[in-house]
Amino acid sequence: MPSTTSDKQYKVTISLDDLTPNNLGVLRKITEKVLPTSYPQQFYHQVIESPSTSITKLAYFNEVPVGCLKAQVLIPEGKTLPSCCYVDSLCVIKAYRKFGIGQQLLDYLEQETIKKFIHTIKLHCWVENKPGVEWYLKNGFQVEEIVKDYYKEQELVNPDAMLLVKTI
Amino acid sequence: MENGSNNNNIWRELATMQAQIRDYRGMIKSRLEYLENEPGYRANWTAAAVAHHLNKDYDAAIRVLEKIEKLIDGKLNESDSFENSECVLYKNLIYFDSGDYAKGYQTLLDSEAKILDKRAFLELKFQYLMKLPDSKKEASLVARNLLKINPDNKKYYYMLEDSLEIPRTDLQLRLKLYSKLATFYARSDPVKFIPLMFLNENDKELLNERLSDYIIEKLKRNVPSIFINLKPLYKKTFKIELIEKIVLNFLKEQVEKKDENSPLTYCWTLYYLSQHYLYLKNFTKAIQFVDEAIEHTPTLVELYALKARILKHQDKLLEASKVMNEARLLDLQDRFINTKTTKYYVRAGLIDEAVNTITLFTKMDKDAPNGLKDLHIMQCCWFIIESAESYYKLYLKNKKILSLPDSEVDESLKKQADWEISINRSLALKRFNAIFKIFQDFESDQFDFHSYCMRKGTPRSYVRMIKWADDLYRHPIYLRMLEGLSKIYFEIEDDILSSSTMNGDSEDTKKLENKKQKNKKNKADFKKREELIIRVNSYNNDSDPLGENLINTKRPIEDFNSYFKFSEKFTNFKIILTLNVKVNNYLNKYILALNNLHKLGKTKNSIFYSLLLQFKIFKFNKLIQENDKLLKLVELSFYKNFQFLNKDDQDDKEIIKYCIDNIINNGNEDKFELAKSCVDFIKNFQKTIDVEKVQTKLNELLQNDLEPIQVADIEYLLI
Repeated sequence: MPSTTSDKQYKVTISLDDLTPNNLGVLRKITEKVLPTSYPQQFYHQVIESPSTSITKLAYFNEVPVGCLKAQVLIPEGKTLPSCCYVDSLCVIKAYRKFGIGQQLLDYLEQETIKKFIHTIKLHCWVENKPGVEWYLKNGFQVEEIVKDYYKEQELVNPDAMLLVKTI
Repeated sequence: MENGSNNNNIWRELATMQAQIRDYRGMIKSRLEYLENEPGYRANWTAAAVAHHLNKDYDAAIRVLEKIEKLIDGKLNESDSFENSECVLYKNLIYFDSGDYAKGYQTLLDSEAKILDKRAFLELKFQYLMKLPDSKKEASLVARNLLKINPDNKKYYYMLEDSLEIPRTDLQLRLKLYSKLATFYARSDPVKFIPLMFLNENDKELLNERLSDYIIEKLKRNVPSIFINLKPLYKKTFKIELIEKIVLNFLKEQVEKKDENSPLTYCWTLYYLSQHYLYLKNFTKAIQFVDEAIEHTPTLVELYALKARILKHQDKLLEASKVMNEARLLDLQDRFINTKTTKYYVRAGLIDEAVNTITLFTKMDKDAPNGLKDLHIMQCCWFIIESAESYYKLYLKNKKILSLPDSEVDESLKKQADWEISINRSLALKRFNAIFKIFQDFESDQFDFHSYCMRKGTPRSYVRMIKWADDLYRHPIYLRMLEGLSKIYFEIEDDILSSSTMNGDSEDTKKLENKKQKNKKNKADFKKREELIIRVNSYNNDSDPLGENLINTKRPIEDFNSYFKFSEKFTNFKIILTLNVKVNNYLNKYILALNNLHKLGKTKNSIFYSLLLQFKIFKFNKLIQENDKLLKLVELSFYKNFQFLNKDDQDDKEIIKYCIDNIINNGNEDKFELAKSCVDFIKNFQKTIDVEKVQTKLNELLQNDLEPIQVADIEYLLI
């Protein structure tokens, strides 16, 4: 459901919409813009090829896409039951933060996770992304471990990442 | 019929044919004969009236229409009312055309009840009242009525102004009018915009205030098209300056007070500024602003489209097409952006990419490799003409590559160019030809409407269609086609001419023949060719998919004429006149060429000069000297047209110099004529050239071997 707020001096309508083969480019654009990593084409096509294990959404600010969510259900090798839901990408473009868009995407993710009878959400976050880490902690995530050199290929200043976990 | 047949349908068929070939005179007879035999159908009455109308016999047309109206009065049922309304309106339009306004107005009022198209009724009523004496006031009421129906139609505001007899120069009065109107139609755009158009430098402050309100309100509402709205204002430099200040200020304000405006507003403001600077051709700033916008909101399709446009204006076509494609990837189901990307690809010479892109939106047969055939069936003119022009551009590019010395280009590049070059040109011709076929289809498609429109009772639309079809062959796409074709065909003709002067088969043609043979023998090339044919095939069962039969013509000028003859009559188009001169030049029909040259000369433009030069050079090269009278005519035409040259214009000076040099350097051809030309030049442009030098040269020429009488003639001219 789109939500409209008017406590600002202008109208803001936030809505979520499905990811389709036609707007896959948007997912790619936002992810590349916000995250320190770059993924191959295959990463994005995965969403279309295996819809049953993917949880995806695009978020719109007054009908302009500004946020995205891409998560997948992880099933450990040799097992049939999924262990957790892993978030590949949960981003909102910088200028459109503080409108609760990330919150809506996270809410959606939690609902979908529960629907699949999964109770753990995991994700990696770059340690230097202070506001990001802070946001996750505020939303009930906990630091499980620090993964050394996670972003080594991207040649970042500090290539370490935090593995964040939320149990629901 | 003359053979005594009583098959009346022949009359009807004949009338249809006559309409198609525009034999209106003959058509009247056929329509009337058929009506006499089949008076039971309204269609036949309408058809007869239309025939009279097209013949400009307005009285007769009205008589026919009134007769049938009387006959059927009171006998119509509900389903006939549309036809009746159209026919009544049609009759009134004829009245209007005939100039009998008083009677027409009366009839219009009498038939108000029958007319369903109320807006057309009111517009016509307005037009009558404006023509009739002492009824401007009533006209203004009609205009207000129309405004009430649609307050967003700019035309109605101007109609109201005219009927109130407010001079366009009386700004204060106009301002009052629009302030008043704004209280009625607060949400209408024209009511706010028109004052922005007419306010001038004397009211700078007021204008600034209004502009500011207008622009900022639209930016805050995130209206993407605001630049298009404001573009008419850009005709005045001081308005551009005002707008620039307003928008830059607004941008600054947004940076300072971040929370007061939506982040999207910031983005659209940047977008506006980029368009603004693009208009002013300040590409650096335009790119700067659009890049900032993309950085801010990277998911907005419009931003990429704009960036691509800026790059296009900088002639970076390849880069532009890549950026446009970036926009497309954001929304694959957006047909507009798909089309744009296709067009940018074609312009960049990436025709295969273009076809693959647009194919996402075409219908495809089972085993078609792409949508090319569908594009031809659907008469997708823009795509076909763009690809034709693109193929020709590729041809020129490859020609250039081949002309470079081996040391400067990569061998593989040269080999590729060598393989492509002839195909580029023939495919260009093939696509241009496809446009021609489409226009021929348009023309024959009229055929059905000569009877259909009468039956459906839509004579108004029918007459409009006839006018449209009359102007068919001056459609911009058709003119582009002619221009493209002319380049190819004239080039072929030039090749033929130059090879024939070199005693039959020249080296070049021999080489070309050899290459052709080699091409066919080479297996790899053959395969490549087959693959190409599959990709570029535009029709089913086409025997000439690459256009090679078209290009191998032996009579290129005649071929070109078969396209050109349909447009020849539109002589108010420069391109038509220019082509006409060139064609007649090739055909050695000098008088016709000159005739058109004269017409061109009346519209001062640079094509005329270059033609003039061509003609001049051509004159010395060809056999024109054989005919004294013709020569005189040519000369006369030159000097008559020189008055259009401007002595103070740098370009024109260049032209004059060039002509003089040309004459002096070619001095051994026909000295008398040359001398005469020089004299005329000098007389016309004494200030701009080194008179002394020319005169010395002239004297040299004169003293050598001219007959005394000719010398006398020259000396006379020199006085």
